[in-house]
Amino acid sequence: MKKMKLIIFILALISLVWSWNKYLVVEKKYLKERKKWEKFKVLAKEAVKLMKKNSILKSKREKVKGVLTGIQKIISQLNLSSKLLSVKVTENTKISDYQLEVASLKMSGLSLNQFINFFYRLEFGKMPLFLKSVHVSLNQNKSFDLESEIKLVKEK
Amino acid sequence: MVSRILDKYYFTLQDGKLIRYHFSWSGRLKSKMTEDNPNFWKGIKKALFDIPLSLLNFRVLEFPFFQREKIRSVLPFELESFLVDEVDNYLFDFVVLDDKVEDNYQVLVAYLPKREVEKIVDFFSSQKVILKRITASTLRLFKSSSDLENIFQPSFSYDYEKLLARELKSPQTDFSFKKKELSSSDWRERGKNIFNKFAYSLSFLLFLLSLYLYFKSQKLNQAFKREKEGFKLVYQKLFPQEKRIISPYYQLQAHLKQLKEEGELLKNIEVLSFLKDVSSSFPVKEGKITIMEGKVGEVILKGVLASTKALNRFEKNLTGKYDYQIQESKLMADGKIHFTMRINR
Repeated sequence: MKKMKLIIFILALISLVWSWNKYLVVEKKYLKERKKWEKFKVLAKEAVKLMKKNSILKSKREKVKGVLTGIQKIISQLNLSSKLLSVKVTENTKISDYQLEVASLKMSGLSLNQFINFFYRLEFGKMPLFLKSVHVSLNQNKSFDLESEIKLVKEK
Repeated sequence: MVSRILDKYYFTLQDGKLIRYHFSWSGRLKSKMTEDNPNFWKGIKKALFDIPLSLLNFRVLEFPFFQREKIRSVLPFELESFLVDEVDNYLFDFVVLDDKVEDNYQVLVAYLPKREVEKIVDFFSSQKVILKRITASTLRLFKSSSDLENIFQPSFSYDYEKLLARELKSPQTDFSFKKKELSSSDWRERGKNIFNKFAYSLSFLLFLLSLYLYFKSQKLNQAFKREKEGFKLVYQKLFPQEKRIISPYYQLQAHLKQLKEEGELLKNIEVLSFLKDVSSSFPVKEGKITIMEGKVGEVILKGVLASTKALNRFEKNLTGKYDYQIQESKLMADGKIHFTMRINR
């Protein structure tokens, strides 16, 4: 009888230790997962934001061979060949899944209308061209001189 | 219920058989049963035992006094002379009889070996019953020395139940069973019982606690699994084209890195929308912007304004829209002001 009592007590104690240990392990795992979940939510929100922002690339789907081809296409469409002083490729690199080409462009004597049309084509056109830097000055003849760096981003 | 708690159980031996008397708190006999009844021990934790006449030995002694305390103190020495064994091995009680012999009081002493009583106490302990008192109610029958002869006659009859009830109501006999060695076994038994109960309750509590913890951990485990599913679901919604999902958290981090790189690549200067915004703040009639230099996140404007007031107005209009800084402003002889402003986007 005494032995039985002792066995029951030891069994109860063992079961308590076992379940307590199990609970602690699960709780630790769960809390770790909860923390991860909180981080995951933040990351997911950030990802959605970035995806939205980057969706612009998806909308610029027109295929372009190179940055020079793209710029020249815009210039010829707007009849700005006479205003073009120079255009040359300055950078050509691969960044992860993308091919990046940068060209510097100089134009002078642009009217306000030509200036707006040029930038409109760049910003809202279907070619994946982006403005990296720009320098616009209003000259004596009330026309615009433009120096800019334009980049082409292509998926490999 | 309360009355049941106050009920008393009296045990005795009759013709070698154990008999149980159940008395109510008021001393009324409720039942009487023998050991072969299945409910004989049911619900009994404490009881009284009445020693039958057959187990007792008698001796009549004479004392010059009748006070019970006095008699009790000298009785062991008186008994010692005719007992075979040591007096400590006996238990006794006595009745002062009505008769007097030459100014001496006659005292009827009833005694029995202590081991007999111990046997009884042990037997009751084995049945988990604590004997609260051991009496010999039949001692009430003895009033004078002549009773001694009558009582042991086969024709003598008496109402035993009545005697028990009387003993119960106003106890007159007590075979010194409250002596240390016997009462301590009571306490030991009681202590043992309490310890047993405590041990069982503790074991039960431990089991309950472990069960509670087990179910709680199961619940947590389920919540953990749900959370993991949640990761997958969100990830699938974000990247539906992806088929192989092993660790959504780390896969999302990798995607984020890629998205950030993409974002860096796609950073753009939106010249038209910027100029549209700025022109709504710029006092067009009072001056002009002559140079605009822009790179990602920063635009520098250089221009001329008619007066300091106009520049102040321009600044005021920009406040809240852009983070800006006047880098340079120069008042010319004609009152016009040339300025350079950096605007962070």
